[in-house]
Amino acid sequence: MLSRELVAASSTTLVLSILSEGENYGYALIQRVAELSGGEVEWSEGMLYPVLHWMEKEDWIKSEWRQAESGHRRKYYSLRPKGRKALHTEKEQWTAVNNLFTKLWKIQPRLT
Amino acid sequence: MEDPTPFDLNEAIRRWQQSLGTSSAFNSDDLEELASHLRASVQKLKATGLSEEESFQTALQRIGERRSLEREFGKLNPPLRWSLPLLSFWIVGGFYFLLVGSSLIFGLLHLVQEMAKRGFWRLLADGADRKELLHHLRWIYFFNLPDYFTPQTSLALVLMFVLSVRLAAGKWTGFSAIIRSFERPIRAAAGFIGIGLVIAFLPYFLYSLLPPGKHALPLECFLRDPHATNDLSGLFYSAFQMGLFAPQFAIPPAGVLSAQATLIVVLVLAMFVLARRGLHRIPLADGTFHDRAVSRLR
Repeated sequence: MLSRELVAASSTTLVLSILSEGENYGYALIQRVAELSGGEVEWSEGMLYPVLHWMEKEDWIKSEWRQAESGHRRKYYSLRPKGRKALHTEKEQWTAVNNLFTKLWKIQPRLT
Repeated sequence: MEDPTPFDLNEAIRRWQQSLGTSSAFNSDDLEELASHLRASVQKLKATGLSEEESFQTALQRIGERRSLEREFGKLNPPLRWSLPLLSFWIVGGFYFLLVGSSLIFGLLHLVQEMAKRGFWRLLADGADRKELLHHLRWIYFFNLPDYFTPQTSLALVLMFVLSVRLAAGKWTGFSAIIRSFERPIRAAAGFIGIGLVIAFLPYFLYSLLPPGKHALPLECFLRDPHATNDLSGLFYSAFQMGLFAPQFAIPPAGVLSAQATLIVVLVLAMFVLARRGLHRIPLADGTFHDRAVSRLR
C-alpha cells in the first residue's frame, strides 16, 4: 500500500495520465487507478474531488455536467492544453526519480 | 427483524448531502458531484451481491469521513470568516447605504411636498416649473449628499471603503468573499443596517457624552449645523433627532443615553450572533438540528 504522502504526490499525475486517454468522471477515475494498480494505490475516494477542482482552477482540466443513463447528472473532466504541458513536465520528473532508483537499486531490466 | 420502512437510496443520499451542506466547505456543485459518485459506487457494489442499504453504507465508508472531506474541500472553498476588511466593507457600505437611502427618501419627500404645494400637473406642464423640478432633483444628488460630510470625513470613508474592498477581494480569488457574504441575506441586511446605524450615530453618541459648553471637537466635524441651513440635511438631521438617536448639544437625559447605549450594544451583539449562525435549521439524520446557514447551497 502506498503511503499517504505518495498518494498525494502522485494523484495529479495519475489524473492527468488517465485523462490523457480521454474524458472521464470521478468515480471511473478511481476505478481505473484501482484496476491498474491491483489495489496497491488506494485513494480515499472523496479526496479525489478537491484535487480535480484544484486542477480545474489551475486550468489543467475542464469539467462539464452531462446526463447519465440513470437520469442523474454526472460531471466529466477532460484535459486542457495547459494540463498536457503539465503532464509532460511531470512525466519527465517521475521518470528521473524512477531512473535514479533503478540505478541505485541496480534493478535489472526485466523482459516480461 | 425486518425494517418496517424500506431503504430509500435517494432519501439517504439527500440526507447525507444535507448534513454536509451545513458546512461552507461544500458548494451545491460539490454536493451533486459527491452524490453522483455515491450512486455509481452503490451501483457497482450492488452488482457484487450486497443489498442497497449495505452498498450505501460501504460507499459512504469509501468516500471518506465527513471531517476529512470537509477539511480537503475546505481548502478550495475556505469557510467565510468575518475578517476585518470584509467587516469594514459592510460597515462603510452600510453607512453609504443609509446615507444615500435616507437622503433620497427625505429628498423625495421634500420634492413631493413641494409638488403638492404647487399642484402636480402644473409643475409638469409649465416649462419654467419643469426646470425647477430638475433643479430640485439635481439638488438632491449633488447638494444634499456632500452636505452631510465634510470633505475630510468623506475622503477618509472613501479611502477606507476602497481599501476594504481591495483587501476583502484580494484575500481569496476574485470577489468571492464579498459575493459570498451577500449569499446570507439576513446577515447582510443586519450588517448594512445595524453597523451602518452604529457608525452613523456613534459620533453623535460620543459627542453627547461630552459635558456641555465649548468643545475641542466641533460637531461640524461630522455634520453641519442643521439649524444654520434650511435644506435637506437639516431635514435629515431633525428627522433623526425625533428618533431614538437624539443628538444633543448638551448631555441628553439619562434615559436617552442608556437607550442609545443599549441599542448600540444590542446591534453589535446581534451582528456577532448573526455572523456566527444563520437562521436556517437543518434536520440531521439522527433527528437533531444543526443551526447554521446553508451557505452556498442553492
